[in-house]
Amino acid sequence: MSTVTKPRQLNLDELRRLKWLLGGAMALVSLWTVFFLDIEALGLVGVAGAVILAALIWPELPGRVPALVWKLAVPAIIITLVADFYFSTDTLPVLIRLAILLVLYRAVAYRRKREDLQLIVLGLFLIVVAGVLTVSIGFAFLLLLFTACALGFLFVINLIDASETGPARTREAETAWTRIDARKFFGRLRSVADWRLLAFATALFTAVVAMSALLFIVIPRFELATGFFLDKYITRKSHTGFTDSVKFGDVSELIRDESVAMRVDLTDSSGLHESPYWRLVVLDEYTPEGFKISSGLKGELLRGQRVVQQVRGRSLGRDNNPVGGVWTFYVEPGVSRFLPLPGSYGMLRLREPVPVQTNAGHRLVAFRTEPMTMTAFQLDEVDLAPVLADARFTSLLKAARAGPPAGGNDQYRYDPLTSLRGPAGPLNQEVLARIVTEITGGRPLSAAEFGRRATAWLQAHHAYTLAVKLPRGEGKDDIVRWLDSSEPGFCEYFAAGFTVLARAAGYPTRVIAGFHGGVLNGFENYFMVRNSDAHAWTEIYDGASAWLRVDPTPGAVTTAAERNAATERQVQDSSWSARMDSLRVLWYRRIVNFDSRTQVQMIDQVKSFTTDSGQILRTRLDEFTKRLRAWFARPWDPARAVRLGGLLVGGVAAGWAAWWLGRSGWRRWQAWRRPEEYDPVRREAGRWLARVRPVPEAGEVLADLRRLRYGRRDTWPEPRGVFKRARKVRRTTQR
Amino acid sequence: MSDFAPAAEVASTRDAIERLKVNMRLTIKGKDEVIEQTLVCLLAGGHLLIEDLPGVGKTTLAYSLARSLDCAFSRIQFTSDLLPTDVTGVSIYDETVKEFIFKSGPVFANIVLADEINRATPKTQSALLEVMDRSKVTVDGEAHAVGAPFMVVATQNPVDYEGTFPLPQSQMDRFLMRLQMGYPQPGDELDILRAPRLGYDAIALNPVVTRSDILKMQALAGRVFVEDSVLDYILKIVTATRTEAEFKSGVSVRGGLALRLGAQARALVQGRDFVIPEDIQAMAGPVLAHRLSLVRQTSDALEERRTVLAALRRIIGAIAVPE
Repeated sequence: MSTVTKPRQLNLDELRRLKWLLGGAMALVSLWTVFFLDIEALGLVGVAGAVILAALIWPELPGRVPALVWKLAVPAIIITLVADFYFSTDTLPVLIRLAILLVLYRAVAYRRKREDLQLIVLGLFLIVVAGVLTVSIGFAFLLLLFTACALGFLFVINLIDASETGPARTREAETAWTRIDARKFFGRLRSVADWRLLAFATALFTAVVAMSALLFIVIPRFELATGFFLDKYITRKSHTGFTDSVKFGDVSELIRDESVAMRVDLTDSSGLHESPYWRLVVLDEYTPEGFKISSGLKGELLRGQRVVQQVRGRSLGRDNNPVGGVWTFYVEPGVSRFLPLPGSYGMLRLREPVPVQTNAGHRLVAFRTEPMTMTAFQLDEVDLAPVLADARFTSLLKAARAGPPAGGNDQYRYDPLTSLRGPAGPLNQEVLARIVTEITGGRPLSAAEFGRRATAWLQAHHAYTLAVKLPRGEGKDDIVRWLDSSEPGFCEYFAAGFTVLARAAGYPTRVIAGFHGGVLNGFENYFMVRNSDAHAWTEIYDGASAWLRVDPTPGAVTTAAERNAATERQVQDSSWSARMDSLRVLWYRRIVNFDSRTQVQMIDQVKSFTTDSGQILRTRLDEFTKRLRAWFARPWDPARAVRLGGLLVGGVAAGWAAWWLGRSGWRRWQAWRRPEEYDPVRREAGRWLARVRPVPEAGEVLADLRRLRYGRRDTWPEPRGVFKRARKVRRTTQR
Repeated sequence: MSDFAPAAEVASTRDAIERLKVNMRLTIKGKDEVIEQTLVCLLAGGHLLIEDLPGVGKTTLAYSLARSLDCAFSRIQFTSDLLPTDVTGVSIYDETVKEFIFKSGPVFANIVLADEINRATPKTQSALLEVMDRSKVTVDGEAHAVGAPFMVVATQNPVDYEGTFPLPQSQMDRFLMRLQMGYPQPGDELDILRAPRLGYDAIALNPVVTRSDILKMQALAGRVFVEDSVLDYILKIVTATRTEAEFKSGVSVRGGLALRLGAQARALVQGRDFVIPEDIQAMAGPVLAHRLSLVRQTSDALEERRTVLAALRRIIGAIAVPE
């Protein structure tokens, strides 16, 4: 058997096979990124991925495809592109679909060098677009994976380039690499793998990544999550309904969208026993098509616009029952310009001062426009009680009833009477009056009691469904016709129905739209609220100081017992997708900061760790030298000298023994690991032969080294002397 | 005595080789590489095929070699009507002694120059090849040993194909090495042009090595040490030629042995008693190239030779040198 088998090298065909493998892996990684984008290309990605995978496993397959198909592929892609442009409204998805097709074509057709580079560029395009649009942790991972693949790919291309010096080969020989047996090929890969080199490269790569991560911490964070223009080229699939007006059906349309609308990170979820109602929009004005924000309220919001970073929720010292610790919200783009608020809160913090519209009475906080990127904000001292204090409303109502406001009949001034107006016209009012009497029995009731009874009445007459059929009826509004029938409805109908009934009975009432519930992520402590959690409910004024939440929709949680059951039910989502989603929150936590203090703290920690360890080392060293000096300063006597001599001898002996044992152990281990290859002198000589340059003055040493490496053992010169001379020669020739 | 070449003998061989080189350089100008390869072939005890254009010094090379050794030299000009007996010799009836006596042919020499070997019919070629293989001639059931050492230097013209019988693959295998002379460098050619006398008679060289020395050196070459990793290297090269898609068939076992022997002889020529990978690399072309043929046939022998050599270089380049 041979004494030397390393480093073995792959031959040209095996290199080509490796190139094929790496190119395919790169294509797959870049296709994977499309999953992060909200683009209608998942089917295409699936098919392309499967085809590329098949071509990876059976590289001879593309060779069997008739040449005509390859010739037609490019025209077909062009035709597809044109058709796609014609039918699609957005530019970017078309480009991405084109890129997917091209990646597919390039990855499954046999490539030459130019086409290899095209594959890299196409893959890079997909990766970069996905990265820019999503800014997610998954993207960072994929980018790393892609980089590693591409580096390996380029390296292999170089190797192939270097060994492809012979004349042009036959067609048969050109495709010989496709016929290499896969198992044999992987066996070869394993046998030629230089693990030391691989480990070194991996360590280097990891070090670079770690350095980048450190830089990422140290460099003041810029707005990673905002302002990417490309996002505007994609019409988001989630048709978010929480704009200033919500028509009947808008919320239920949202319910079909399973994508995550927002994530809410809690520092402490232990006290949380109910699924929160995330208030987004207050719809106070009734119109026959549905409820909307009155222009008065909008004007009020606009007037309340300030550039702030913090918004106070309620005055300090008020009795409340805060839960959840600090709530950090990450709201996906396109949900709403209104911020989702789960109840009353102490303080709302934004990441930076921005124009914010607030309204204390309605507990609304909104941006000027709908944000294009992920929005993050924090709340503390959140109280989930279904009661929102609003002492001013009574006086406002009284003033409004007394006469028109002082500022004239301005339609942009908030009119509290809006929350009492319902469907007009005698036909409508007749129906409503009848139902109200049915509910109250003609007696005056408290708002809370009316809420309970009206809810009971609604749930007794209407079931829950997502498909509503409205009965016909001339001269009556939609909602009145629905109330008068026994048709099932969904949350918007129940909320609207309740509101018109309460208003007909004289209770100020408003419709609230937002989300209800959400799932607690099983890996990281946060709520995932999906667009399908969209909900509508109501708030009724108790006539004195607060708005009470009433959720008339069947199935909505009301009693405490039900609430507990619900918590048990909704506890946690521990699925694989939840795991993936938790990565996103990890990433958000990293890139979003509400003040730079944490960042500074982290840098300080890193800095103090390094300086502290240096300092500790220095003080220890100082102490040691001091003690050593003191020890030497002590008077000498023979016994002490003998002791010292013994110690020195013992130390040297122990060191030598350790070195000898270590070396022989290492050799034995080497011999055990590669028994046939083991001949240390020959190996050492081989190493020196590779190192010493063949200059004239090295001639003799080279001859001796050659003899040690290839010559007969009994003709060997003394190896150690030869190596010593080789070292000397190498040193002199290097200079 | 050990199985391997003792260092003292190796040193004396080196001196003899040096003398030979110097002597041959007197007539062969600027072809040190070819001279060395020829000497390697001599020490390896193999036969040499020189494939080149007419008039580049093939015969001069063979002649100088023979003259530098204390050896008998003969030359056979191959033609299509040459008979086997013209090569080996014939038994004729001698009236005076009343019996058949063997008249030995030109093959009974130490260095035999077989000029334009591909011009002869296969029958005649195979007569020569038998001698090359067995070192004896059998006529009428009687074996006659040819000279020792015995070396055939055959020449072949790669351009002119008309009326030739190209040597089949199996017979090419009998030659240890195939060499090209190539044109000399301009400076060397000027020296040749300056030479006062022309013709082979002008080659007046004194023998510098005796026949028994040659036989001793040939025995020594087989005993040059080859380390295991170097043998493994040979094995890898040979195996790689067998899997290379460009070749019709790879190198035979005999080819592998020839490569080892060639490398051993080269080591000896260079004064070493052990083989190093450079020996293998240097000998792979001359020893292996003529044993390989391409899948893609070409009508041009020169181009085929170039392609085979390039492929061989690529294969060897891809195999890691034992370090």
